[in-house]
Amino acid sequence: MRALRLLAAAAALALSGPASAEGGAPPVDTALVLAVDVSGSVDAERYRLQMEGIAAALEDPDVQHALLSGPSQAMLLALVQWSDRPRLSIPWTRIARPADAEAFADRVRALSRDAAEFTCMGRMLSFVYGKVLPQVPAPAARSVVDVSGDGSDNCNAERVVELRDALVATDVTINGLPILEGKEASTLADWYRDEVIGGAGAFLLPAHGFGDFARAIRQKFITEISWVPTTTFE
Amino acid sequence: MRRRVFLLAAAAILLALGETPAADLTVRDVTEALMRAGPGHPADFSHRDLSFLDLSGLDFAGANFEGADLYGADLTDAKLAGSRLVGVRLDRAVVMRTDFAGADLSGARLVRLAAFSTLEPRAEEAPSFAGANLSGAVILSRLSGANLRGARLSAARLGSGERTPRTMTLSRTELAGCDLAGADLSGADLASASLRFAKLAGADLRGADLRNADLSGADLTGADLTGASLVGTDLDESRLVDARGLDRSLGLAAARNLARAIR
Repeated sequence: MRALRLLAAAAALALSGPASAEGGAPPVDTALVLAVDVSGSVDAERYRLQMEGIAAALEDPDVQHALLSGPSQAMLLALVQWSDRPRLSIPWTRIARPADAEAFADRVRALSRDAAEFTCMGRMLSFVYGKVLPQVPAPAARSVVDVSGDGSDNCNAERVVELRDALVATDVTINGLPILEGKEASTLADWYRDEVIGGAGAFLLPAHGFGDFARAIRQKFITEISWVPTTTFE
Repeated sequence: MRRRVFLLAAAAILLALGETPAADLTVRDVTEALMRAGPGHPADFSHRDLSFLDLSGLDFAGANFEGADLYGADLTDAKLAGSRLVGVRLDRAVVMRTDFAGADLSGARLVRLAAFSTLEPRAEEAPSFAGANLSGAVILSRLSGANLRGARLSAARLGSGERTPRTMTLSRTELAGCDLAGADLSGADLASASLRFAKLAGADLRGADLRNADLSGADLTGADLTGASLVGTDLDESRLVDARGLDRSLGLAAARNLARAIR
């Protein structure tokens, strides 16, 4: 009986992963914020394509392998919807098993659209800098913000470049997934490259329309999370 | 002129980073302090200048803000339940859906709060002060529909008699439709305040200054009005069933629409 108890305790320890040196939450390889544009140009169908794309990617075995491929075999994931104001739709969630990724995918599908009119990317970056990243609940080897959207900042309330630089100064990497559809299709990739992405290994991976989002986000996840040298995709 | 432009540009950059020229802390500093806090050691922002910071959505439950300056801060959806906000300045703060339940706001200033995103107050956006201590606070704001159930407002100054500058477009405190059931408003200055259709059942209004206040349609069932000043108070269809101390109130005969009150 005692041997069984010891075995159970050992199994529980193995499942819970290594504890951090401070005795707090165990460390993770990456803390990743998915920042999803829900401004006026993103109608209900485009919203669905984005969220379904994220959910399907998280259910993909290759993506799950990438998520858990680092030394700590765990990561933290949060999702922000942003338009006039940003909102932390899914707070920091630990992904340490494929089932965790699948549960996160279920939550993504169940989200309600928090839409408004403007594309206030600066305000979103300020929110991530001031409120989301300081609340990472475990030591993370790196922090990444994954920005997707179909337009440049039209809010003018805050300045994107200064906020990008403020994030980069705290060792955060910002990657971009511009959705090239609509009136900014020909210019948005350049704007993301010049104004949005930054930090170590930052890259751009455009989706050629909302219909291509699922393919792009899957590829982006794998590149972003797996410990493969990053590249610029054009 | 150039200096002014420079200063404006500098302020814009600081605001973009979540900082303000006046604030002691950035939004990031505040969030980090909240992360370091825990049971038994709440976050301490006492006597800090937090003016104009975007603190929306943050969970401050139990934090200490005594003497802090929250002028113009955005507290939309912030959780301040049980927090210590003694003597804080909340003037012009944005408080849509802010939870102040059970907080200690004694001696605080709440002038010109922004509680609604539209000109017409929307009850679903109103902040909650249920069970909060607002004794001695200065309140001159539109808070229609707010939950103040069981709040302590003794000696609070919500009136707008002679002390309100005539240039102010907001001339009185609006508490229309508020839930003030069981609230302690003893000795409070409510002169000229709008309390239309407010729920004041069982409220303690002893010695309150209700001169020229609008209590039309308000429910004062079982409220205690001993020593309350009622000169010019509009009692049109106000419910005074089982109200106590009416015979010992001041100026009841000079109240407006007394005959239309429900007694």
